[in-house]
Amino acid sequence: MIGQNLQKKLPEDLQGAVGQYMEQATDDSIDEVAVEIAQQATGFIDRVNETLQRYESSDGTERDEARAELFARLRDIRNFKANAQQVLAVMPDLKKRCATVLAKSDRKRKRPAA
Amino acid sequence: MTIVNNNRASDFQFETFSDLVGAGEYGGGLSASLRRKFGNLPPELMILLMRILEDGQINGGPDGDDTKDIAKLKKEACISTSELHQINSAFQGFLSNWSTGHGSVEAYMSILGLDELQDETLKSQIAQMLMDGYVTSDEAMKLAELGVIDKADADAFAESANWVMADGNKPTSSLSREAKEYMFGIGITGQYSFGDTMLMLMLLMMQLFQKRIEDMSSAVAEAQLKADVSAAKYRALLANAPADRESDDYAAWSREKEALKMDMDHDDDEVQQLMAELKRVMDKYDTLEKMFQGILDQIGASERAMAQKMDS
Repeated sequence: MIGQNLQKKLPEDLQGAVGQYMEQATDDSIDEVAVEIAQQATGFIDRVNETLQRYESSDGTERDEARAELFARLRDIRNFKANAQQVLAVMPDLKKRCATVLAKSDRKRKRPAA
Repeated sequence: MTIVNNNRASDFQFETFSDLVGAGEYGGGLSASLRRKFGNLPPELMILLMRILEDGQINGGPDGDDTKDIAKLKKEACISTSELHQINSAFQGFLSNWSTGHGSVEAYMSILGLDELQDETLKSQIAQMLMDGYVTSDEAMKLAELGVIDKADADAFAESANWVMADGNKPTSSLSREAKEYMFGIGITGQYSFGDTMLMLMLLMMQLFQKRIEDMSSAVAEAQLKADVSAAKYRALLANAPADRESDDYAAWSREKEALKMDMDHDDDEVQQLMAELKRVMDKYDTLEKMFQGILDQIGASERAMAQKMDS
């Protein structure tokens, strides 16, 4: 399976979750996961904005806490970006496989003249 | 994170909030209860459950009609509507406790899965520790020494406990989805970082695509082979046409030729359809690639905004 090495970076529970989900995958799964990805990203960005606002409008301990939270989110983002780039790097390979199948089939479609 | 507690008595009952979020794995009794009842619910079903409960209402409310999600959850997780309502009302009871400011320490303990500890002295020690609404690293370590949590989890425990507590203390009657997920022990965003969650989802997406492409490729190859066989048969038949066009043999040959031609057309159509489907998969892939890129851009903008604040 693609991305096996990247998968090993995940906590064990999540590695298991990937396997379990793949076993139960249906034709709708791609769309379901796409929706979840979009929701997770939007949710995260909202939380970042919320923390930024809290950081700007607070002082003392609350501001320190918001700052610590921002640092944590920043680390999280950098971790995500590094991993995402590696995932995106396998995309051309998958596309190439798809295109090869299509090209092969197109080439083969030669019919004998009636 | 593991909360060490072997004293949990209740199974899948939601009469009180304590039943809902009582002691269990990951500090969320609901998850433990659900897992006891349903086995390991796959993440997508947990997400579905969250989606239904997100606005505190089942079937309707600000997050819209939940009918489709409920139907899927009922079908795949064998959860009943009345069980969903029980979960939701127990959750509402908890929220009203937070919003009135009553029973914070008790509620906090129940969130952390500590309210059902049998040792009253230990319970009161912990309650004392939580009174100020904040768990320090030292306090978390003390909890570990008391055998309530694993030592390795002490920091994570303190961090997530403080986060849920802070979220719960907001002057609002609702908790964020993130906090709920933590409480429910799902951990898709609560227990795990955004980076891990997204990596899992993106890997899932890639593997789903890979599987789809492989399945489609096999189907195309199989259909192509069938079409090749039909074409070869047709070609062979054409090469052996009877000379006498008025003969019975020629009539039989013509019938066979028509039948083979129909087979060949049918097989060709099948190849065409599968190829069109594969093209659609590729188009979807392109769309998702753009979506990933868009997400990366947005996240990059958030990163820059944060880094700017940190520097200022």
